[in-house]
Amino acid sequence: MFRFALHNLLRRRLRSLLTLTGIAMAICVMASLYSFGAGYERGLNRELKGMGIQLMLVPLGCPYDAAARVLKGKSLDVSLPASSVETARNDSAVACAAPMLMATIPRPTEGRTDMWVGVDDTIRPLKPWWKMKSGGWFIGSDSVLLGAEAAATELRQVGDLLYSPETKRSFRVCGILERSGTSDDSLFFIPMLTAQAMFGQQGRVTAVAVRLHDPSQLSVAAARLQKIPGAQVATMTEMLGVFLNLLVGVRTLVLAVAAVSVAISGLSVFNTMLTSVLERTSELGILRAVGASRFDVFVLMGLEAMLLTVFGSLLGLLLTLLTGRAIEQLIAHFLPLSPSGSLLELTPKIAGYCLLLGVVTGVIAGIYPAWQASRLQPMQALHTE
Amino acid sequence: MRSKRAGALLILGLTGIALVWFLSNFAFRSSDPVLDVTEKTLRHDSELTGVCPWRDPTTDRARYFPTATGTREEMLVLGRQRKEATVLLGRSPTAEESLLRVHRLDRNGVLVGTIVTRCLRGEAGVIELVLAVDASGKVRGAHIQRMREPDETARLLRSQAWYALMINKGASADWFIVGRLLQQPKSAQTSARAVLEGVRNTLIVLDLAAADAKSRRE
Repeated sequence: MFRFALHNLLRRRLRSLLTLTGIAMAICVMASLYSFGAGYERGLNRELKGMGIQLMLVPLGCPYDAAARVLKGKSLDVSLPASSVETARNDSAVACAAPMLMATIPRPTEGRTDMWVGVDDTIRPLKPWWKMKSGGWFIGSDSVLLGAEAAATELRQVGDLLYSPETKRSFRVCGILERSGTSDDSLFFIPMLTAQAMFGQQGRVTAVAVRLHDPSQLSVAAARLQKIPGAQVATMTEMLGVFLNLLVGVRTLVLAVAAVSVAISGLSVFNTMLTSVLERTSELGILRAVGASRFDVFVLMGLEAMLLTVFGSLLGLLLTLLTGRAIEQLIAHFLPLSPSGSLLELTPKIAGYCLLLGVVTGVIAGIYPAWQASRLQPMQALHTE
Repeated sequence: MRSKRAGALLILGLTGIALVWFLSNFAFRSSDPVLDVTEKTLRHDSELTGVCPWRDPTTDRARYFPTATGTREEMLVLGRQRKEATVLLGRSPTAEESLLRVHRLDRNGVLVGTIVTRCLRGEAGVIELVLAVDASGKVRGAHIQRMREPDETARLLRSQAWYALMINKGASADWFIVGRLLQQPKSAQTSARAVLEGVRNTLIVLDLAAADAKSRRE
């Protein structure tokens, strides 16, 4: 029966192929979105939890946008007075407060942007994932600590010079960080005072990263720190919640689109099978005449529909593996905070769900044509010829 | 009388040798900031591996090979020429050199030239070199598409006079002479040398890869 069904599909190759492609594309979109959603959630959790930062003081405006920009090493148009660092440090709940000054130097003709971050010693406990690949911490005002990616791009080693043509400043590479999979990999870290002088931001900071003695004091401490003039607080938990809510909204919308495409692919299976029944009326009549039962014909047509969807779904999953990275890049580009590393995680569970969905769609779409085929009377069918 | 003359000649000879030694080791070297591209001064780490992007293909094509009608990317494999490459380069070829990505430009199917981009280790950051080589393996032109060198070095590395010295030179040209021709500011020497080595080494690899391909065809 299986071989017979397969043979029937191969007899109409172009039609089968077109139906197969439709199913494959629908499953590919569905699997990519599911995988991306799961990967994004995990990536975001990993990145925010691994930060060692529980809240962030940022200038007034949208706190989450500001915090997201700071986390990705992008600069802000507004800044905080350096005194806000001291105020934060004086709070009894604060274990560690580290100032950060971000500045970007776009180099459009060279296809990149230099991202400089001014930090001091206090940042180290807040970056527990930092490991030195070579060298060490700042040894002077002209020291620069490079992220792994930045060092690889600039072909720098410890002791080398690094020049900033736009600000006309020379730095000596004091250390290179190990690859961490975070945005730190592509940043140039310099001493805070040097950064302030370099970018004309004396006495200003872009953000203050804070860790508390007791994380359960988060809301109390946030309420107190919120009173610092010109500053507002973005907690990491809130940030995570905001981004995940955003993601859920986007995912619901996109899954609706994917569901429509799966439904359309189901209709295309329905159409293919129904046409097939009409075309093969006499053939089915002969089958009945030589002794095939109604059930046999029903199973045969159902099997053909199922084979189409199973192969289509498998092809779709293969397509996801092949094109998933491109889809990921496309989506990640539009997200306000995109965790580093790969976000596409096509797990066996997701693959299984998509395969099941494809098969169920195919089976449902194949029921009516199969039922129609099984109802054919041999005499009537042969008369069609 | 004869012994006095011999003694005078000996003293004169020794003085001459001492003078030549002094001039070659101290006088010329310290006062003459020229680019000295010799085996001794070659910095083997000046070229590190890494895929170097070609940032402006349209402009570069029009600049060096305006008659070209098509471009294709090719991976050149050193293969059996590795041993010879090691001799000519003075070191083992890097991974990038062993499998060099080049852009072949042709006019109606006939090769007119090759453009190679290389990431080089400059004094103050990466230097991205664009090298145009004609069909006979000689330099058509070169320029830097990206660098972060100080003004003095950047001026040199952007000057047409600097690249004019390389034009029509092949892998077997006297690159030592090229280096000495231009009086360089001392601060620019490391980066200028990196560029010069990059050009020379790329030409060597191109030549050897072409020879390898030819021997395979035969």
